[in-house]
Amino acid sequence: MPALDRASRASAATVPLGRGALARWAIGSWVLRVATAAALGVDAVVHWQNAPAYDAVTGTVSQGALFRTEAVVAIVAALLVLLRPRRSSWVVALLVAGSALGAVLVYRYVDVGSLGPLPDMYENTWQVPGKLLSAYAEAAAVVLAALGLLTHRGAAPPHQAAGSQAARAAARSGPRLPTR
Amino acid sequence: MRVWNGTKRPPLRRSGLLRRPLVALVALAAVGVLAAGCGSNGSGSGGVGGYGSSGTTPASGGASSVAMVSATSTNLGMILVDGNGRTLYLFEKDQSNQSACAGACVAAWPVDQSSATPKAGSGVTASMLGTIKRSDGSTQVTYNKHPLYYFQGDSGAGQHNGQGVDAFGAKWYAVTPAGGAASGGATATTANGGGYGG
Repeated sequence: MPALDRASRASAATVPLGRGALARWAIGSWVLRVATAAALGVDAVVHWQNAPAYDAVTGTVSQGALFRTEAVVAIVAALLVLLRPRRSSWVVALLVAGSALGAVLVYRYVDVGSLGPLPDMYENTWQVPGKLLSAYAEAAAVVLAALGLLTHRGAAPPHQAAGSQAARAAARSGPRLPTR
Repeated sequence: MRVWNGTKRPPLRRSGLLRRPLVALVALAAVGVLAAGCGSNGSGSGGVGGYGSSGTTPASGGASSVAMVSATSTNLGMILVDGNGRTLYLFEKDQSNQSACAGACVAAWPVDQSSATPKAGSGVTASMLGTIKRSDGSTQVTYNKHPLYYFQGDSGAGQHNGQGVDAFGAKWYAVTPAGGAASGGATATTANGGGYGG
């Protein structure tokens, strides 16, 4: 089969979105990105606000410093998802939210003590301002980022996987309307 | 460029979110979880104030009133309570007459404030009562040089849910009339029974 034909077929596989479907896809994608960024934003604000109260909890690094780092990283992940919604951005958001959720759950229920440079962050209560809210936000961000990753248009459908570079390029380019 | 010259529109192949209704439903559920989290505001067993909450000091320990401290019998033994029967706690991280709790910590563990030297109720040693000036200008009640706090997880008299809680880098305990940490309850294993001495 000529290369041009293969490229055309591959491109056609991503073309058939109608205008309505395209609009719905765009809205859904935007809602997903905004919701993920909002969840990460809540996580960031809570960590930033609570950081001073944890400055005295020290190992090689203080818990307050870790909280500020988490806040900055969460904001960066939120901005990536909002402004640069690529596969790598969803992966970053998933990792940031997942690690934060894992940490808060582990330190809530397991007294692991100090780990390497990390201070002893065991805290067997949810009665800390924003802690529960932050955990909810992290859980939501994990789910939303996973959905963003799964539904990202860069993920080529199986029938395109064996296609040419043109097929992959077409898949990366996102949904298109038919050209008349 | 692809040229489509047929009169019959190619079948709509939905993609992304709309290709998977289940995915969209899960997304909505996740947003719902987030909204539920945003809605939690301190009532109930697991709720806490929003991230902007500043903590509320129980009325009996308000800055404009003179606090009362007395002792009452509980399943932790005799412990200190305020004039309304709310349990008072000490923080292991505090130094003698010096609080190590501020910011979010105070929101979770409101300080027992008093406008003057607190009144000694039944079962407490009046000479152990005192006050310290906090960095924000408020006056906090002390007992045996332990700054005293409430716990947001206690909703009223007779509760001591903060006993043995590990938070903000150290443990919290109800206070005995002798000025030490109550040893009963869930996890009170390192009670600082001697207080700060001198």
